[in-house]
Amino acid sequence: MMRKDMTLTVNGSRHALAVEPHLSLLDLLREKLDLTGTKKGCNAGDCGACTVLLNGAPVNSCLILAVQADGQDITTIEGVAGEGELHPLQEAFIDHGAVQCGYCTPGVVLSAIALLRDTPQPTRSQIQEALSGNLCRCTGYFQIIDAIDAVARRQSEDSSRNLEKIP
Amino acid sequence: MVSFDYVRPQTLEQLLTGLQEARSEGAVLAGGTDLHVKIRAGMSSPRVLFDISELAPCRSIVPEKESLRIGGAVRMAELMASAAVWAKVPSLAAAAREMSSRQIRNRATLAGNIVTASPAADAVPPLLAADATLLLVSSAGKRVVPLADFLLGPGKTSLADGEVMTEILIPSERSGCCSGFVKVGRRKAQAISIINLAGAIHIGEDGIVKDVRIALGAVAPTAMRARQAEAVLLGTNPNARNLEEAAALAAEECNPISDVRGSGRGRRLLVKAWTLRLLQQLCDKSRALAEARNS
Repeated sequence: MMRKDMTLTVNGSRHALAVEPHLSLLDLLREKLDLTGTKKGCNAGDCGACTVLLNGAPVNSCLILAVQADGQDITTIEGVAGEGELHPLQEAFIDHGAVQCGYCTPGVVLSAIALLRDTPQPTRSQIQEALSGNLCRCTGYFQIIDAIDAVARRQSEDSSRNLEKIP
Repeated sequence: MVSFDYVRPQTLEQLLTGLQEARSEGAVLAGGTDLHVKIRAGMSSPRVLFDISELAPCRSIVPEKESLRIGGAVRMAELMASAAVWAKVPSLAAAAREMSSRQIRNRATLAGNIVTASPAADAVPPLLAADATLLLVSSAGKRVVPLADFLLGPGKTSLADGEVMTEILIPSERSGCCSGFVKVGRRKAQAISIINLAGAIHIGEDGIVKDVRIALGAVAPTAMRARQAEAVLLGTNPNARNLEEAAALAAEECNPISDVRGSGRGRRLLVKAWTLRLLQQLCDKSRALAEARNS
């Protein structure tokens, strides 16, 4: 099949590519851009290991064609840490033992980033709901939920402290 | 090796011309959450996909005086975030909210849920209860088909080659009507429904049922209306006895199979229990609305 020209912004970097129409966004990220942090689990939209943010919204990259992401903005796990320091969620995952085999972790962290952006103070059930498309077979989820909860609480303490500083 | 061409039409005319030329080898790609899985499993092998996921004429929710028009490529996440959908067809918004996962709801579309024609499709019972109709467009013209006539069996619809479902048309609920949705799955998320159901009931200020609709999913080759159950309640002042009778009739008139998700007998028990519970809730709500209008 004829390759299609497309552009894509991944973690702030713009790429111009020619891709086969049937290539999934997941395979593009892993095989063409060497961004192997995004995992391939079921390749059918069930497990969430391939979760990325498409224009900020969590999606299963296995169920999107690379060509459908033409001109769009993608965030993968490689794009969440700052210069030389982990994202607060990544730190919290380590602190709470929320990473065991680690296969689900990139997708879970991206789902959690989207959650905290839209709902900075989620209840535990809101955290559970936001993660319902990310399967973890190791942790039993408790440590993951604790980690996300801890970041949300810390952020609310920080923001209330900042508010107090305002004269 | 799965291989196909990909086209992103910029206008409806381009889409229809492309679909006409591709005939049976063309497929419409909306959310892709079912289509890509089917293609990979070898259950579908289109030569060319026409992507409508960003096609403007299929992307809007338009509230009108007596109805709601929802574009075929409107996503589940957009349905559950729409004040117009919550106001006019709350059972549909509720079904969208309970479906699958966030990742899937951010892509899966209303037309896709209908066209896939799974007997367990969660968006279908609310639409069936609301007497929704579908706008099917091809280069030969347009037709409007009742949802009930469109669904023919598991995976089978009356969609013709070259046709695309651009809109779903839903008559607004009458004021005083209350609707709801129930999904029963093995777990809350990412679960194909063992059964699902939608109900709507309108009790007048005289306490009499003016309108009642019950739609059941995953208990017959297509989602179905429980017409006998509806008939028992229409024109009555609903009470414990005839609500129970209606729920029992709903369980009798459906025709569930046994499969990996549940037995036929178990499904009938679920239909009976949940129909009763949903009807009781909706009666209470509709009565409260009628009383509020009276006072």
